[in-house]
Amino acid sequence: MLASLRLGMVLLGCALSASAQDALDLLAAARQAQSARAFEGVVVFMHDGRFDAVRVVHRPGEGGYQQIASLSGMPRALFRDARETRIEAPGRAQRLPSLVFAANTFDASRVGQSYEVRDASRERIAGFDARVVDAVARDDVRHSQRLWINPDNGLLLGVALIGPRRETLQQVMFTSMVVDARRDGAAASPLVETPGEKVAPVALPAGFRLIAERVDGTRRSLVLSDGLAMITLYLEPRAESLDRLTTLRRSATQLASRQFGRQRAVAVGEVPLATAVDLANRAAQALND
Amino acid sequence: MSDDSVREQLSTLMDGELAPDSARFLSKRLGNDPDLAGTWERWHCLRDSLRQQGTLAPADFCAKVREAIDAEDGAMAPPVRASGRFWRGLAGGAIAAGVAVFALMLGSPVGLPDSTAPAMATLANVAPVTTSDLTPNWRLSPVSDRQSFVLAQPQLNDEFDRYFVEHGLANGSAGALGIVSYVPVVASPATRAETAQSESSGNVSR
Repeated sequence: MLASLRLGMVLLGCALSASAQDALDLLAAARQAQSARAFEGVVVFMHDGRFDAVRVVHRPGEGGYQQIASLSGMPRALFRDARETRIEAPGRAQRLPSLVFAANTFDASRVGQSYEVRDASRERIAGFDARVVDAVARDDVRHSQRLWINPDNGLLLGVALIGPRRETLQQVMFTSMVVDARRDGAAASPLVETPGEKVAPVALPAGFRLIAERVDGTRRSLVLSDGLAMITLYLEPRAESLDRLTTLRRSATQLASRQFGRQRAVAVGEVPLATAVDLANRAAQALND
Repeated sequence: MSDDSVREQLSTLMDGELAPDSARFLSKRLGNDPDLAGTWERWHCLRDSLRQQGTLAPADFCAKVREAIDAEDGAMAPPVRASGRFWRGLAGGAIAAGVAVFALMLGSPVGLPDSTAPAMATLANVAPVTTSDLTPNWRLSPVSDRQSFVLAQPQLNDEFDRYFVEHGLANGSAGALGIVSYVPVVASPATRAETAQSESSGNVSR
């Protein structure tokens, strides 16, 4: 009897482990597909009790580009190629250099440390049979995520950010997608080499590590990731001396700005407010030490 | 710590003047205390309304609805005798459609006939959308018990807008989710400057 029970426990453990590994493999395939598969479609972005429709065109590889245009609300469009990223709105255009990071935030080996990942179920999304992967946060430093992935080609069909009370904070879902097999190609060469294990100038939230850094004059931008979620930390001197904390939110993206004296740290990410505030506080303090 | 004391600290945090240690403590508590988090969201909503960021219907909303109903009643009055039940039903439908169209107009950021109307669709006039409204096949359970969680209105702030944009772009380039990370950059509410620009263009064209 006892032996049967043990055997059952072992088999259950193996099954759960296999499910987690399957889910991680799916996440890895999804990341890979983003840089290899050409597609276009319409996504619905649900946030703040409203939804917006956005058209997406993704052409990876040499001469590739990405185009995202809003179909509802304020007309806005983003066009990105290897050279620059252009954000256009009526009477207004913003041009920024396109940055491609050699180090990618997705790291299957580390995702499991911060999230309990499992292959949850199957659902039909945008006409495709999708596998549902749940990445449940192991602590309150980050949000949980639910991802819908097409197992046939690895393409991500949807993602939802889930809050601490199991509420959906925001959700992006494809309502239609056309995969263009002819345009499939290799990933574009990275423009900005940011490899290697870097040491952050401040203690990072549990599970996060520095994956890229950019210096622009006196301003430093640090890209932090726990393997799935991402925070950008900006460190910069300011002309005016202040002691102030400011918090803002856009959809599920939290911003915490902490200025201490003439140094300011701004943390932006799809993380709980406490995580952003904590990091901004620590970084501002470190800048003044 | 008394409720009043906590609320006072919350108010100070909103003003950006709370000491870092207290801010850290309070923000952690916000994540664990639904009531306090609700208060936080309500205050943000209130603050945005006071700053006229378009979270509420205009003050004359009720008067305009009443006028629309009166106008519909007046227009439909003569034929009632001939086929009263039919026209009464039609009038009811027209009133409902009129109110719905008016609500949609409030939610539309472009081409508003009333310059005092909010520039974007807001929670005051757009019902929260659940995934089941869009396609019956979508299910969020069991990860999410609630299909759409309404946070406070997004806040516009010229000084910090660029951080959101730059983060969104970095997230799209290096993020685990790829191109879908760009979507909030395009779909999120426009910056205050863009809103002003759009309103200005709209006024000229009218």
